[in-house]
This record gives sequence, C-alpha cells and structure tokens, in this order.
Amino acid sequence: MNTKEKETSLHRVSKEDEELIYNMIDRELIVSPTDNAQTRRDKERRREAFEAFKLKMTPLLKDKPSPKGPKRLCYENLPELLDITGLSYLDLLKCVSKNPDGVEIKPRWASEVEAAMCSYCDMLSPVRREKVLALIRRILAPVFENSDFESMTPTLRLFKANAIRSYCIAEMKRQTKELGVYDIYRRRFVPYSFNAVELNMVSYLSTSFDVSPHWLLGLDEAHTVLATNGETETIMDLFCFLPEERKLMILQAVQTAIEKGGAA
Amino acid sequence: MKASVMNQIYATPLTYPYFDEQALRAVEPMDVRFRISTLEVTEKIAEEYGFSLDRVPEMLLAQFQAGRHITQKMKSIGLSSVAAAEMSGMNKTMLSKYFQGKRPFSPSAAVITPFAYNVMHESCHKLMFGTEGKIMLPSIYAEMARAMAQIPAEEKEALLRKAKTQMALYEKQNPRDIANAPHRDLSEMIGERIFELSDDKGTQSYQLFGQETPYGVRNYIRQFIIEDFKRESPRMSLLMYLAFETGLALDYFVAEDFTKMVPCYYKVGDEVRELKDQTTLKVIGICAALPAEVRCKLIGEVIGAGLGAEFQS
Repeated sequence: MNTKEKETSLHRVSKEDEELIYNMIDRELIVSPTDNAQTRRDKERRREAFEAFKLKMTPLLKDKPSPKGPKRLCYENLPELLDITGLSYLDLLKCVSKNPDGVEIKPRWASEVEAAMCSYCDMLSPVRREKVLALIRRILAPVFENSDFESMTPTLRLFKANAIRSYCIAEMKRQTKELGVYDIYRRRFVPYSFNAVELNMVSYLSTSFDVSPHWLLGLDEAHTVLATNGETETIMDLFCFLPEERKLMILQAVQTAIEKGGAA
Repeated sequence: MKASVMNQIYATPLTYPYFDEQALRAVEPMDVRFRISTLEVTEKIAEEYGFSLDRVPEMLLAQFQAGRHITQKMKSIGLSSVAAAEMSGMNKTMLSKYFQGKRPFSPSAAVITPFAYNVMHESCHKLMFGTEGKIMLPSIYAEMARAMAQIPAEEKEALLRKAKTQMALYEKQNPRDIANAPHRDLSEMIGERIFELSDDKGTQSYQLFGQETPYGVRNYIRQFIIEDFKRESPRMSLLMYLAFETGLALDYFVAEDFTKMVPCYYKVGDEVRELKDQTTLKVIGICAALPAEVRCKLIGEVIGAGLGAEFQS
C-alpha cells in the first residue's frame, strides 16, 4: 500500500457520526405497512445492497467476517453509500447535526457571490453550462485541476489547495487558529487513530476556506451537495478556487449573458 | 560602485538593445541571473560560474544607456530639461542630472510613464531596455479580447462608450495634472498586476516564478503584501527584472493603460494572436486603469457580452 492509498483509507468519518448514519439508514429502510408495492421492492433492494456494503466493509478473520463488525466508514465510501441508500449528502448532514430546536439544517455557500453563481448555473441549459465551465477553465490556473487531489483525503486536499492560495504557510496557520480549525490542520501530521473528521466539520471547513463542499468530499457529478445538478457542482468546484475579484467578474459575465441570450 | 565598473560603463557605447538579452536569458539558475542582472557579482558566483567580479549588472547598464539615449533624443528634439520636467512631473534638478549622462536613469515608477509617453513618445520598455517590448495578456484580459472578437461592431462601440463614461467619472473624482500620470496609488496597481500574473499561474504571488524565484524578488513581494501595498513602489531595477523575467513589457507593471504603446497578444487555444482591434485595445486599457471595484463589473460585462453571443450561436 503506497502512502496516498494509506492516507485515503485512513481518513474516516467520526465514530459518533458513523453510528448516527448507520442508524438512520436502518430506520429509513424499514418496510412499513403503508408502503406501496413499488416502495417496498425498492426498500428491500436497497436493504440488500446496504447489507452487502456492510459485509464488504467487514474485515475477514479466519475466512469469516470479524465479530467486531464493519470497518470504520471512510469519506471515500460515502458516494457508494449514497448510491445504495438513495440518500443525499444533505440527509446525512441533517442526521448528524445536533438540532434540538428543530431548525432546518442547511449548509450554505461561503459567500453570496457563490450562492448567486450556483443559482444562475442551475438555471442554464446543459450546453450553456458547458460554455460557462469552459470559460472558468480558461481563467483558472491549471494547478487547481490537478488529478492528485482526487487521491487525497478531504483535509489534505483542503490544505494543499489552500497552500496554493495563501501567501505563506504562517498565514495559513494563523488563519486556521483564528477559525478554530487548527486541530484539523494539525491532524494531517499525527497518527491515523486521530484522523477522523466529523461530517459537520466538512461544511464548516468548506465555508471557512472558501472551497466547494462537493470538491472537498471528493464527490462526482452524480452526487450533489448544494446545487441542483451535478454539472453545476463541477462548475462550482472550480469557481470557488477563483480569487474574489475574478469571481465577481465571472458572476457578472454569466448574469450579462443570461440577460442577453436567455438561460435555456 | 567600483571605479572599474564605472569605467566599463562609460566605455560601453550606446547600442540598441542596451544589453544582450539572449545571453542573459541563457544564464542558469534564476537566482544567479537575478544577482548578475540587478546586483554585483559575489565571489561565490564568480568562482562557480566564471563571472568577473567587475561585471556590470545588466539593469544598471541599461539605466545608464537609457540616460544616454534620453540625452541624445532630447538634443535632437531641442527640448530643455525644464520643459521635459513640466511635461512629465519629474524633478527638474534630477532630470538635468540625468541629462548629463553620468547617472543611471532610474526614475520612480510614478513618473516614468508620463516621461516616456509625453516626452519621449515611446514605450517605457523601449526607454529602459532599448528594444520594443510586447505583452502577452493575462487570462482575464485575453478573455476580454476573445469576447470582443465575437460580438458585433455596434455592441463593441457601446461597450467602449460605457468604459469611457466610467473612466470620465473616475477621472472627475481623481483628477490628474499630467497626462498619462497614474490616477491611483501606483504601489497598489503594481501589486494588482503581480497578483494577476500569479493568479494565472496558480502560485503564491511571491513565488511568481515558482520555487526558483530569486530571494530578492520573493522577499520584496512578500514585504509588499505584508505591508498591504503601503510601501513605496518597487525600485526600477526590480521592476525591470520582473519585466525581463516574465517576458512582458515594463509598461505592464508601471503604466495604468499598458495597451497604449506596446503590442498586445493573446492565446486562443495554442495559437497566439496579436490584438489589433483598436476598440478592444481601448476597452482593455480603460479596464486596466480603473480601480478593482469598477473594473470587475466592466470586465464581467465585456466577457458576458461574448458569452451571450456564444449562448445565441
């Protein structure tokens, strides 16, 4: 196992969150008498897939599944889990968020500019979204589309990307301390047993460091977080890397283009 | 400065360009190139790379050559140093000293543009390097050029009118006495231009040339950022080095509207095209001169016009 694989496989969802997620999925997949035939079949199929997923995650001990149960859930397993259960990232987030007042948990884009860009892109037709994506790719430095990011853990990916954008490492440390996430920053260097990140923290980190949560979680176009469709998520993944000034320019450009050419 | 170095400078005839740029570019690594082009050669470099300790730094030589060039040209035009000072906002005494040819011509970044454009009628790059420079537009301006090429002439004119109105409004709030003098704080503008380049490369601005960035450049830019651009604008030799190393004309760093005297190029895919359309050049020039908050909106509108045309096609 090389270092990169090791890092990825060791990057886990925190134990508390994992339990909450598994419990929620169990609850969601219980067939109730009020379910119609289609829903029942669907739930049964998903239940089977979920059990298979857990079995796959369980290490073998003398050719038998370990009695300790499945391995800890890693961030790289999240897309598969979402596919199997038909849940969205927001569902997971709502499940793990401590919400005693009943207020709806809704993560948000780091800035108003990003939120506005996301809503504009969601309005566009797929062909036009492609054009916006091409425009952003021409303006964004190629270093942010580095394929190495894919094999990194969310925090490592975050700090690598931020290291490109911060003007010095000392500044980045100061920033992380101010935001109260220095502990997360430090975790990159400590043994794997501490290397688990709460799901809530992902939203917080993405907002604090101005990156797309979709990119931070390493999701593909099939899984969305804050946008309505996957293509918009890809646009936003790159858009969030742009410097503030360029973000405003692109937002203005898309707004002008929609006024001129329409959205669809 | 050593007497032997000064004697070498006085003995060097005025040639165009002022120094051999190709030979300097061939020097590796970059920190040695920085050292021998802006500072004196150290003993270590002399031993390791075989340079003479009496070698004249190219940027210094260029500044002396620029002084001679100015003296010659002023004589041929018949313009006095007092008149030139009035036209450019330069100090009269300082300018008359430059005219004597015994001093390197290293004016502050704030006055070089009016001097080059109003008095010498040539680009800052031509003035300081003795050769025509060129500017490969940073991605955001290149995108404007692409967008302007896609929209009809009437729309281009409308955008130019809008840009001119914005500029007139800005000039009204920030009047200037001398043509081509900067309206805004030059340090801030130079910082923005450095950021534009580093944003395109996706590097930290003080590592403009990657990990190899010479210590002198890195340190200066870092200080420049830490002090929030309150520091006085960089010295001329550093700006000349930046222009030389980036391959961009000096005008890009010191002139508010860098499109006036220097040919601009942009990339479409792998093809490099010269930007010849005057309307586009004027719009880009105005956008480059405006402060960030106004510029963002205007550039967005220009790019949006091109994107809108793409949407319709």
